[in-house]
This record gives sequence, C-alpha cells and structure tokens, in this order.
Amino acid sequence: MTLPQIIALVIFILTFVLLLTEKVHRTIAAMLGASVMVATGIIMKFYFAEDALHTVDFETLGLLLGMMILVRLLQQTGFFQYAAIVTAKKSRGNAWFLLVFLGATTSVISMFLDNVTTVVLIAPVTILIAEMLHISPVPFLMAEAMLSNIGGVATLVGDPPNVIIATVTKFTFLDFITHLAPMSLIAWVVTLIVFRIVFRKELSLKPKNIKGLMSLDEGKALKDPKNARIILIVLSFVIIFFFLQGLLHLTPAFIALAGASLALLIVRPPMEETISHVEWNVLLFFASLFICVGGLKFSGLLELFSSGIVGLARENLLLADILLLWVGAIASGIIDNIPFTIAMVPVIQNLEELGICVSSLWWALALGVGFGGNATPIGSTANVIIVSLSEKTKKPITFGLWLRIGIPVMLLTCFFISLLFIIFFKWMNTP
Amino acid sequence: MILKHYMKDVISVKASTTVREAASLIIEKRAGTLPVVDDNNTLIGVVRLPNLLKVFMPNFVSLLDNIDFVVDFGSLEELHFKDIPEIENITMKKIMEKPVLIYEDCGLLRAFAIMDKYNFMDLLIVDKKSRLVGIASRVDIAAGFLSASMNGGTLT
Repeated sequence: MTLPQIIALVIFILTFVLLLTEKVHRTIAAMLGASVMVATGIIMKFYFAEDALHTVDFETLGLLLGMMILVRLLQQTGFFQYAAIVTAKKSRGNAWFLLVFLGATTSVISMFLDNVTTVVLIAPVTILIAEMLHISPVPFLMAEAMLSNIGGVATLVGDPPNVIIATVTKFTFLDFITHLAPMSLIAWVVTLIVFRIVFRKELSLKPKNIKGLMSLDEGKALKDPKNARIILIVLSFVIIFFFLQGLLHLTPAFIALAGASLALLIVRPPMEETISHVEWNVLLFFASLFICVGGLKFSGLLELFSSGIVGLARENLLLADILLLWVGAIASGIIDNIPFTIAMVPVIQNLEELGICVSSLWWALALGVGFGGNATPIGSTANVIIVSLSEKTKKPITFGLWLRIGIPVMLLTCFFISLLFIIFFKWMNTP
Repeated sequence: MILKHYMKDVISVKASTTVREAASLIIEKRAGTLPVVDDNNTLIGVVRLPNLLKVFMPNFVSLLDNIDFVVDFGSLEELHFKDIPEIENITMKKIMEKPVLIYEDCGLLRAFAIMDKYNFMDLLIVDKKSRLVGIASRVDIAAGFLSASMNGGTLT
C-alpha cells in the first residue's frame, strides 16, 4: 500500500466511525468525510475536485429526486392515511389480521415509494387504531418498519441501495422484479411467522371497542381526492414505464423526473413549499458518500482490495456471493446500508474488469443490505423513525426489544434467502 | 394603559403539586392557567390546560396532523383517574412549561400581542424580581384596551 492509499483508507474509516457514533447528523459526517478526502487528494495529488464531481452518480440522485417529489405530492392528499384506514377496517378488529393487512399495505407502498415516508405516515394511524382497540401498538409498528424494508428490496425503486445498483449495472426494473421480488416474498412470510410466534399473546388478545375502529371515516382522511387520483395515475404511468424501461431504452431517473414534472404541471402546488419538503439532506448524504468513496477508488486502494479477493470469486463465486450477502447483512445492521453499498460498488466493478461474471454478486449485495437492516433499531431509517415515534407513546420500543425480534428475523430471512440463492444460483447469475 | 391596573389576584401551585391536586384546584376555582412558584413566590413555571390534559390525551392526537376522520373517540372518552395509575406520581415539575415573563408595567396592546403570538388564554404578571403578582385574562386585557381607546385617554 502506498502512503496516499493508507491516508485515504484512514479518512474513509474515520468517516464510517463518525457515522456509527451518530455524534453529528449523518449528512454532516459524510460531507466532512468528502471534504477531507478531496482536500487530501489535492494535496497528495491523487484525487482532484473535477474527479470528485464525476464520482457523484446523478442518475441515482435524479431518480430519488423524482420519486421524492411524487411522494410529497401524494402525501399532501392524505392518501397514505386513507389506505391505512381502509385496510385496517378490513381486519374487523382481529389483531393478527390487522398486523398482516397493515404490513401488506406498508410493503406494497414501499415497493414503489420511499420507505421512510410510508412508515412516517402509516405509523401514526397505526397508533390511533391500537389506542382505539386498547392493544399495544408495538408489534404493529415494528412489523411495519421491517416489512417496509423487505418490500423495498423487491424493486429497482424500492430502496436506495437498489437504485445505486441499478444505475451502475444497467439492470432493468424487470430484472429487479424477477430476481428480488420472489426473495422478498419469502422474507415477508418468514418475518410474519416470527411476529406470530414472538407476539402470540398480544396478537390473540380480543380487542375491545371494535366500533371505534369501524367508525373511522376514511373519506375524511383523503383531503384531496381529485389530486390523489391524478398523482396515482401519473405514478401508475411511471411504474408502467419502469417495466418497459429496457424496451424503450429509458433510464429510471428520466422516467421518475418526467413523471414528477407532469404531476407538478397538473397539480400546480405551492412550489416553494413542495420543493422544501424534498429530502435534500438525503441527496447530499448520497453525493458526499460518492465523493468520499471516490477518493478510495482514485487512490487505487479498491483495485488492490478487488485483486485480493478476485481469487475467491474466480474459484468459488457462490461462496463469494453468500459471503457478500452475510457481510452486507451484518454491516447494514450496524451502519446505514447506503454507505456500505456505495463502497462495494467500485469493488464489484473492478472484479468485473478482472473477468468475473458479477451479476450474482450484485443480487447478493442488494439482498444482504436490504434484509440485514431489520436486525437493529438503527439498521434502517424506517426503523429509526418508528422507534422515535414510539417514544412519543406510552409504550416506547426499547433497543433490547427490537433486537429480540430483529435478530431472529434477520438471521432467518438471510438463512432462507441464502438457501434459495444456492438453489437458484444459475438464475441469480444472470442479469 | 399598563397591565398593573387590569390584573387580578392569582392562585398558584408548587412544583411538587400533583396532577390530582391541580385538577381539584381547576375544578374548584375554574382556573385555566396555574402558575408554579417556589418558596419565594418567584414564578418558575406555568401549567396550562393543554399541559394538564395531555396526560389524558391519546397519543395519536399529537402524532396526526389531521384528526377529522376520527369521528368518535369511542371508549377512549371513558377515561378515569384510576385507569392511569402513574398519574399519582406526576407533579407540576414534570408537565410545566417555562414561563414567559410579563412585567407589571407592560402596555395593554403589547400584552395582547404576546397572548396572540403564544396562543395564551391568560397572562401571568411578575414584578421586577420575577415574583408573581397577578393574572390577566384575554378578556380583561382586550376590554381594558378597548375601553381606554374608546374614551380617548388612559384609564390609569
């Protein structure tokens, strides 16, 4: 290793440590890491500001931005609350059905829309319903966070790591659905079984006051039905175009941004306000991480790392896949899955340049970082949000309680997914 | 037109007063704002009705920005003190807010503006040493200001 490589590695590790300690907001930590990386690169002449700009993947940012605008527009109509109430009423007060139905709604919405927005809007309605029924909201809230993470794994737009993988690999929306959605479904069932067993007491309680639940007026929750309909139609078109993406040679970012433009044109919301609700700090977090990891790449360190593991990948690709899946899963429980994914991207790209057929590695990465986040309350942003919402109720979700359910869920899903991966290895090694 | 001439006497509670005691006081005196004072009568906090009723309020009320669709609270309406066992241990110290200090010589228009900004129903008035001296309601202040303005002069 050369001196610039060592220093780049130290900066990278320090950035990760700063992210891990959560002493400062993650975006500030990433921006600091990026700035120090570029500054060092300029001084040591291995990484310049122009290089840093090129490492930022604007495809990823564009797709996220487009979807964020659409979500914001839909959010204002009250559609999320409406969907939660309609499905909750179908349970007729049965706690187990309520968990399954609310979980299914959360998963399906998370497949196409941002997980965080989905849980932020559905969780308060869940707390309302639990209070109405005099039952604990805890199992429902935890299930929503975990099932939202699992739903997100199923599609190209479901989860940021998938978006990143899609932009670098050019895998299409259909590729993601055919490789990941079945895995996601299995993980979904496994997770619900764990919930059924762990919370068997809570879920078999006979809820009181079912009349209260049934009296909720979903029509009043949907504040703006006209615009809700318009945005859902635009969103359907966006999803249809995602499916046709390979055929039409369109990038997902273009489709999402064009959809957002169309929706903005029809709805004409107060623009300042709508745009200020886009999660700019998430986009900045991404850009900063790209720049920080770019420094590692330009120092030549990632190539060094790739050539170190190329032997394993060449001799036993399946073993490398499973290893990546589990390392990704464990890492995602401890740290945000986005930085891990962004760091792995150049490594896998290098392996490809060294002549390895890397398709299965990409799928293993997506599955590992997607399901691993369920293990801990800090494993995904959805988990963090659910825990902090529950702190505003009389029954906060503790760190320990989350681990008691999250770790079995993570271990079991990853176990079954590994098994399927081995069985369908041939299929997983196609794009 | 200064506040001093429009304020009334006020009942106060201590930081150690419990929710149950405060509730009795509100029922008996029909008070909507309870000043919390220390042994020197210095104003150290305020408990307003929303602070107190928060203990009884379901969590979803603060979490949802729209509750129009909750057309009936159902059995949540039938809440008793005995349903919330922890209530006996909740004291004013836990639920009080930091007071906004308003002095006796504050003008009526400014006083009303402050109530409007903070959405207060009553203003607690202190002397220069932050000791509680009185209370004035929205109506006291508005009526005082309006009558003085109508008579074209000060009522001092």
